[in-house]
Amino acid sequence: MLRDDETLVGEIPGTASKDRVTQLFRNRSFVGDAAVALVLIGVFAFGRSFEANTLLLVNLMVYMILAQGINVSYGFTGYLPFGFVGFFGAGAYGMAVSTSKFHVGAYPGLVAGVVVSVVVALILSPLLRLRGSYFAIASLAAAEALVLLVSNPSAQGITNGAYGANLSSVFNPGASYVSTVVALGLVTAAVVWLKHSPFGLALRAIKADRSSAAMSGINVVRVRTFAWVISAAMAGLGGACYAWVISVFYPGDVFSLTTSVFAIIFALFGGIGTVVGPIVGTVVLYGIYNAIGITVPQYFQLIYGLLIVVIVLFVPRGLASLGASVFGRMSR
Amino acid sequence: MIPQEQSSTAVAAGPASTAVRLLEVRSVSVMFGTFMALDDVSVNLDGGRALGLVGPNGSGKTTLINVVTGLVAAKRGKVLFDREDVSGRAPHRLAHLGINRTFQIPKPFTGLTVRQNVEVAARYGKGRRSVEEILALTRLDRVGSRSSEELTAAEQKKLDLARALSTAPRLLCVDELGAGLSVSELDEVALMLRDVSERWGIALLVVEHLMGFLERVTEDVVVLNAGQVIFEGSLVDALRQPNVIQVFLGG
Amino acid sequence: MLLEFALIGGVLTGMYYGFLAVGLNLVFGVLRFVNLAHGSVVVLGSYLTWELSNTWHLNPLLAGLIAFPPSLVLGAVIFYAVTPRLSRSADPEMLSLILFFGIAQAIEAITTIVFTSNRRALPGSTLGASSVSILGQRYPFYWVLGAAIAVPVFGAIYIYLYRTRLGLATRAVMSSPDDAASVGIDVKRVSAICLGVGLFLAASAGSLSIFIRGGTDPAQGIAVTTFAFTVIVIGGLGNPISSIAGGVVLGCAYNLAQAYAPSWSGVIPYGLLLAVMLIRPSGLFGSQVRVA
Ligand SMILES: Nc1ncnc2c1ncn2[C@@H]1O[C@H](COP(=O)(O)OP(=O)(O)OP(=O)(O)O)[C@@H](O)[C@H]1O
Ligand SMILES: [Mg+2]
Repeated sequence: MLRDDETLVGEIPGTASKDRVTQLFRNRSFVGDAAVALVLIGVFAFGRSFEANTLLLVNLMVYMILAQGINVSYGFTGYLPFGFVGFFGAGAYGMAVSTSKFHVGAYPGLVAGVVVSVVVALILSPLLRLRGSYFAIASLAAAEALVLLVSNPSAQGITNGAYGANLSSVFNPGASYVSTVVALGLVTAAVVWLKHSPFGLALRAIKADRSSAAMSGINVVRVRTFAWVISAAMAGLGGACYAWVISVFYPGDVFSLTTSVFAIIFALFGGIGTVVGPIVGTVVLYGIYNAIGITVPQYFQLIYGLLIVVIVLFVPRGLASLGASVFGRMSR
Repeated sequence: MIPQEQSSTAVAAGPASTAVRLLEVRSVSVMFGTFMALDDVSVNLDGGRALGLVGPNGSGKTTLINVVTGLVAAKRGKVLFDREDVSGRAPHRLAHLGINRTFQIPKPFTGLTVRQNVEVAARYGKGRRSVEEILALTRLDRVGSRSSEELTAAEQKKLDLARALSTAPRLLCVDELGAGLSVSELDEVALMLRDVSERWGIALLVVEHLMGFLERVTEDVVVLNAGQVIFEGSLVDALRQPNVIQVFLGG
Repeated sequence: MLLEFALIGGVLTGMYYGFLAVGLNLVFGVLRFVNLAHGSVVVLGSYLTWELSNTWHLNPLLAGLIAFPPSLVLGAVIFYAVTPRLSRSADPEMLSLILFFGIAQAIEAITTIVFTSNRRALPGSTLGASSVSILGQRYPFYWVLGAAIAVPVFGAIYIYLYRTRLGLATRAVMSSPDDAASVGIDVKRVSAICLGVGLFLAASAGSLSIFIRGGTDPAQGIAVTTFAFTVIVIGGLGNPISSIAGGVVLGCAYNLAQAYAPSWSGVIPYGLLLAVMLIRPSGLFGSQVRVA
C-alpha cells in the first residue's frame, strides 16, 4: 500500500542505520527505558518463585499491557478510548473461538486474538475523525455494542453467547504464564521503540498540532491509524493471554468498562508519553486496589473516584513528570 | 523535486517572462456556511519570485493560503502547481510536492524540543538539508534543545519558518510573519526570507500588514478585500490607488 | 398494530428521553465538556425517589423538586473547585472528561454506600393509574406521564433561555464565552448555575427513570450517560431544545427494535450514536460541525 514516495516511518534513504543505533545507545534516556523493559521481564519471569498468587501477577502484567496500549493511543496520539476494553475482549474472544471452535493450537490462537482486535480497530478507524470527548465516548459506545454482539443469542453458535467461553482444551498454566510475560516484553519494547523512533516523534507531532504535522509531510490519517492499530493489537494480545490463563470467562469479564478505566487511570497516574509511567502507575494503584479493593468495593470505588479527581487536578502529567523534574534538577 | 541549481538559474534569469509559472490559483471560491470567504480569486506566481498578499482583517488572506496548502477545500476553482492540478490534494502530499507555509499563530509541536520539531519536518517532509543547517540559518541553534513551548513569540515564528524550510519547499507561504516582532527582529526575518528565496530559489507568497516589512521582501502585491481581488501590481502603485487606500482606512 | 404501538410508545418515551438528556446538553453547551457524571446523578435521583416513596410514603415525583437546592449547590461547588485548575491544564477537554468520570465513580460509590447496591424498582401503580388507553391500545401510565412532564420541562427551559436575562446570558456564553465576557457577562457565575441546573435536570429525570427503565441500580450510571449522550448527539450538541427531537428519534428506534428484533434493541443507542457521529456529526437537527 505504501507508495514509494511515502515511507511510513519516514527514514531518510541512505542514512547509515548503524549510526542511528550507536546514537541511540549514547542517548541516556533510551538506555534507561531499555533497562526498565529488561528488569520488568526479569521480575515477571522469576515472579512465580517469590509470589505464589499467579493470578495477581497475570493481572498486573495484563494491566501493564493495557496501560501501555492507552499510553500509545492517548499519550502518543492524543486519542483517549474509553472503550479500550473492547479490543481486550476482542482478543480474548479471538483466542477462545479459534481454539475451541476451530481447534487451532494455543499459539495460533494468540495470533488470532491479535488479528481479531486489529480487524475491529480497522473497522472502527473512521472514529479517529472525531476529536476529544466525541472520540472517547464513541469508542465507549463501540465497546458496548461489541459486547452486545458477542453475547447476543444469534451469535451463540460462534461465541457461545451469554454462556461464556471455555478454553479448557488448551489449558496450560505454565505456557500461558510465560506467554503473558513475553507479551508484556513485546508491548514494552514497542513503547520503547515509539518513544525513541521518528515514528513516535511523528505521533507526538500529530498530537500537538494536526495541521502543522500535515504540513511537515506526515500522512496524518495513515500514521494515526497505524498507531491506533498498534494500540489495539496490544490490548488484543493482552486479552488473548488473559483468556488463556483464566480459561473460562463470560462476556462481562472481558468487556468490563472498569478494565478500561483502570488502564486509563494507571497510565495517567504513572505518566503518559513515558515508558515507565504506565508500569509504575499499575504497580502502585493495582497494589492499593488489592490491599483494599476486594473486600469493600464501594469504598475502593469512592477512593479511586476521588483519586481520579486529585490526579487530574494536581498531577495531570503523572508521577513520571514529578520524577523527571526531580531527576532533571539532580543532573543539572 | 527540482534541484536547487535549476531554480536558482530561473531566478538569475531575472525577468518574470522567462521564469516558470509555479503557482496558479484559478477562480477560487470558498464558502464557510453561507459566508463567502473567497470570491473568484485568481493569483499567479512564478518560480523563485515573491508576491505580497495584503488586505484588511478578514479579507481572506489566510483562507487563500489554506486553500493553496490543502487545509481548506475550495468550493469552486482550481489550484495548479507546476501546471499540475493539485486542488483537493492532502496537505502532506502538497508538502512533498514542495508547498509549505508558516501559520499566522505559530503552531509548534509542543512537548517536542526545537530540534525535534525541525527533525520531524526534515524526515517526513523529505527535505535534504541538515537540521543543523536549518537551525543555524534561522538562528535557533542556541535554543535547539529547549522545549518549543518555552520559546518567545518571535522564536516560535522562526521555528515555523525553520520547519517549513526543512521540507525543501519551492513555494513558501508566510502568514503575517512580521506581526508582533520588534524592529530588529523584523529586519532579521525580512533578510532571512530574501536570503532563502534567492539562495534556494524558493517562491514566496507573503501575507503582511506591515508595509515596511513587505517592501523589503517584494515589489508585487495582490490586494484582497472581502474575498475579492481589488488590485494587482506593484506595491508602490497599490498605495496610490484610491480604492485600496479607502479599504485600508476603513470606508 | 405493533408498528403503531411502537411508534406511539416511541414518541411518548422519547419525549421523556429528551428530558433525561437535556441537562447534559445544557452543560455541554455552556461549559464545553461532557458531564460523564450525568447518569450517576440520574441514578441518585432514582434512589432518592425510591426512598421517598418507600420509606416516607410521599409522592415519588416530589424527589424531582426537592433535588433543586442541593443540585445548585453541588454544581457551584464542583464548578468553583475544579475549573480554575482545569482550564490552566494542558488538555482541559480530555482532562475534564476524565475528571467527571472520577466524580461519577464517587457519586456511584456514595449511592452504593448509602442505599446499598441492591436493585430498586417501584411498581407503576405508585403513580396512581397503571395504564392509559390511546387509540385503542394500552400504554403504561408512566410513559404518558413522562411525556406529559417533558412538555412543561422543555417549555420552562425555552422560557428560561429565550425570555429571561439569565437565559440571554446563557446563550451568549454558549455561542462564545469570550464575547460574553467582553460585554460584561459573569461567565463563571452563568456556568456554575448551568452546571447546577444540568445536575438538577438529571436528578429530576431520575425520579421517572426508575419507572421507565424498569428499576435502577448504582452501576447504571455510565450506561445512562451514554444513552443521554446519544440523544443529544442525534438532536444536535449544544442546543438544549433540540434534545427532545433527539429523544423522540431514539425512542422510536428503540421501540421499533423492541417490537421486531428484541434481542438487538440494546445495541440501538450505541449503534445510532456511532452512525450519527460518523455520518452526520452535526446531529440530525443541528448545524454545528465538530469533526477534526
Ligand atoms: N473555518 C472557518 N469557519 C468559518 N469562517 C471562517 C473560517 N475561517 C475563516 N473564516 C472567516 O473567513 C473570513 C476570512 O478569514 P481569513 O482568516 O482568511 O482572513 P485574513 O485576511 O487572514 O484576516 P486577518 O488579517 O485577520 O488574519 C473571516 O471573516 C473569517 O471569520
Ligand atoms: Mg489571517
